[in-house]
Amino acid sequence: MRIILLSIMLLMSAAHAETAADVIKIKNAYVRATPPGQSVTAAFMQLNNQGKQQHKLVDADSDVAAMVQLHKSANENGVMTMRHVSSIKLMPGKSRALKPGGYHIMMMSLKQALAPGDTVPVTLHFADNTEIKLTIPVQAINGSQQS
Amino acid sequence: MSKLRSTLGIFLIAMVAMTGGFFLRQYIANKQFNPEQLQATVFPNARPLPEFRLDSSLGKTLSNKDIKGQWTFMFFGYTYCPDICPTAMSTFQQMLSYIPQDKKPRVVFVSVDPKRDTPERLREYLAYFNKDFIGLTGSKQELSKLTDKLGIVYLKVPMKDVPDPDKNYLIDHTGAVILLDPNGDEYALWGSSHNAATLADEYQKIVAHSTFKGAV
Repeated sequence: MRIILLSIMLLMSAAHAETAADVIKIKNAYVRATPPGQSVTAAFMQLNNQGKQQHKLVDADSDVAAMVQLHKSANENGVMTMRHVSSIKLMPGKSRALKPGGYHIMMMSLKQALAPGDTVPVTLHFADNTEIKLTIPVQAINGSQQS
Repeated sequence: MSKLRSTLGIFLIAMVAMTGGFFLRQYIANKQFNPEQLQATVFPNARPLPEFRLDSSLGKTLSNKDIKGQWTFMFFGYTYCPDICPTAMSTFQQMLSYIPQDKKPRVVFVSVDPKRDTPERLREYLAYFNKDFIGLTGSKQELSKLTDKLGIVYLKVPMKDVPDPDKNYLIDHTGAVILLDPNGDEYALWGSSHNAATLADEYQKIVAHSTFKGAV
């Protein structure tokens, strides 16, 4: 009897503790194609938290880049800035856009040129130690103007 | 008496027509061009640039005389930048597609990162967007002649936790788009956040209203 109760409790707690990997849905992901000689690029996407708790994107990595960081571009009194951020909060029921001029996944020391039509593997890491593996299409810079 | 009346009538009609014509012309002129309604800041008097000499993607040194004779869009940035600068270059490329062939301005990208952006690197980078885009860069001292006058600020920002911090760093920079007139003087500017259609539209209005109408 005790074992049954314990299993029920475990099941219930498991059902309650949603994971980021389960409830974060990714839409419209793309990586910017690189001009010749360019060793950096950025990945953009919509992250929709369909869960009931806040989650945090804390890191990302990709086989095509030696370094990947979460960055935020901002316009501070006319000066364009870009900074490494330690995490990106994802509020329950809300979408967060990683888009030009704002949050993005900065991919540095690229190991190869990226052309439209290529795809890039990117893994997103969340604060609860879960991850989402994506295969993201590369888009021409012109084709990625929609924000 | 009736002759006087008809003369008076004609006179009145003429007055009304003239006054109406005057206001109509004012109205059309205002509708076509009102600098206050532009996103651009148009200077009441164009501001001459100081003498500069910068290395260019064309493989030679360029100075003030080389940017004369045509309207020029000037933007400051660096090629290592993955977000703002490629967006701006692509916006300029798109803007040009909205402007008739005989009115297309020149586009100049000034790199504030001479350490990584060699003239050859600039040529390679800019050709990806448009082979006619010109890249300029030079020593900090030479760059500062332009940036000081144009109110452009830039600041190297080291990145943490990266190998080879000498090669991997960011630069904060003013995002303004500067419009130089065919004399090579600063004529107008747009703050950051630019839209290709707005730039094309306002550029053509500014040019049409300037004293350089013929010379583009």
